[in-house]
Amino acid sequence: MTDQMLRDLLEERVSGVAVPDLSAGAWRTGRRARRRTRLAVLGAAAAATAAVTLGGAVLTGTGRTTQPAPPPGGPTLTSAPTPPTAEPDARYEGVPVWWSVGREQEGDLSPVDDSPLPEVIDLRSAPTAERPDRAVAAFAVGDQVRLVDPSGAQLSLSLDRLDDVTKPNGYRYRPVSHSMLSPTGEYLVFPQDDSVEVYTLATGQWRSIDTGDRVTRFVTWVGDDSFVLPGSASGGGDVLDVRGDLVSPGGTQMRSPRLRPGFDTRTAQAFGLTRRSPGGSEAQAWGMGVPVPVADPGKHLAEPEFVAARVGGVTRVLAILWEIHDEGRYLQCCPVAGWLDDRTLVYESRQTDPALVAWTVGSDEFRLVSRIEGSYAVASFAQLWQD
Amino acid sequence: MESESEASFTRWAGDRQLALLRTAVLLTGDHHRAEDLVQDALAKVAARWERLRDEAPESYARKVIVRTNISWWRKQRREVVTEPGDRPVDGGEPSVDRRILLDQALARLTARQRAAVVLRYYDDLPERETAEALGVSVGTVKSTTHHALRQMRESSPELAELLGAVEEVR
Repeated sequence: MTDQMLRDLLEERVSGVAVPDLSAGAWRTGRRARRRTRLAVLGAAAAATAAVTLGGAVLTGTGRTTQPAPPPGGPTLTSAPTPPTAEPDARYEGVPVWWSVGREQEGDLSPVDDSPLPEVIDLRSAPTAERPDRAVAAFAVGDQVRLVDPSGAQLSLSLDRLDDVTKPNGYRYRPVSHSMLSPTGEYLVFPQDDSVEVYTLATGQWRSIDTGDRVTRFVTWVGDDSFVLPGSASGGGDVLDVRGDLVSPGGTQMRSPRLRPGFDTRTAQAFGLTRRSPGGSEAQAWGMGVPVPVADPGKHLAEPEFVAARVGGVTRVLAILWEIHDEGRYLQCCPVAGWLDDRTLVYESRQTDPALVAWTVGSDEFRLVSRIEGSYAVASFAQLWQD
Repeated sequence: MESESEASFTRWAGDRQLALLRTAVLLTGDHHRAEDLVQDALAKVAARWERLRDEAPESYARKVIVRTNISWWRKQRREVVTEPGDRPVDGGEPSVDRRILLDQALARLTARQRAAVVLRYYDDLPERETAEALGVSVGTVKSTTHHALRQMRESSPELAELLGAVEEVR
């Protein structure tokens, strides 16, 4: 069978196909979609306003008056996001469970519409960006951080100036983490033994903030330009801003509590950050150790990693399917990267062909946000929803 | 402004909808589903017309068709196992036989393999554009197409023979 024969045969196969005029109906449907998008943007703005108010309320718990005033006559969020209603694949301890797509099928997923990230993030390509004002994602690659800006262009930032950080047991490691990129993508923060180093994208300036005897290893952003220095992985600590000013003293600012799925998780370990959407949905990745059901116990690893997600006050679980002899997935494969909207979370699929996958919580709808080409140690994400 | 946009979209869609439908029929093997895919793709182009009109609306529409079909196929594959249609009978009309054999050979491919074959050999897209439509690398297009053609040959020797006979008569 030659190429030309195949071309002729395909041409012959559809030569008799005729089409009714689809253009008018398509225009009407497209126009409705544009209107829905505009309404969604207004809704997101309302949700963002509510989220800012909620975020401020955490800080005001310390007695400081940092809570933003509600805009006069501005929109208010009056109801929680409507929870999806699709039937789950299974239940565990009464909690509905959905199964993820397989590792090798992720590349075949349809792309999300209007993604905040490019379809392909090629970490092996030469950096292309002038210094951006902000980034959507930061990938630790060797001794650099690759910053991906909203257009998909990349900037490479050297971490030469940073020393390794020392744990109490003497173990030293590079100070990159899920927490390094700020929520707006304007700053990076890195712990050092006696300071934190803040990089401002817009100016390209580093600022070294002396932290005295505070523990710095668990530094986590709690606002657009403020971070907490917890004394332990689950403890509280002082809140500082990017100028080094103390925002909330005395260990009263707690790190965000882990979202728990509603069943016993003592045999599993949470990893990555608990991510929150503008309307208050939450998601957290958990490691192996809990007998959450899998699609085929003869084929998939038991006690799988899973993501717990709470939307509209209802918690659902996504079990990450991992074929028993598949060495392509990495342990702690799927930390939550963020939310596209109040129903759609994004998780990293860390594997030989890494990807960012969107799951509409409580449904079997999965879409591809980005394929990632090249390897990286850890990734950190700004907020992914678009205001 | 709206009416001018609608007019330009309608002109473009009127020109390209048949080509898109024929691609979709080859991707799916089902005229009705192909029409649904094209309708959906055109609506998505219409929703983004101001942005796409001066760029590459057909590439975008083709990408929507290809990827939506692959997603549909992946979901259906878990639920329904379909057998390819009847085998051609001896003495049948040659063009009908060829069509049945082609449908059978295409039906045995994965959605991505099938799309690679259709985009490369029907739409005549270069490897790079095929890769963009599928959302994969150029290397993946090469290997996917290679495996697809090999499988077509191996699974349908009659098709290869029949095509060979047609070529000799010409």
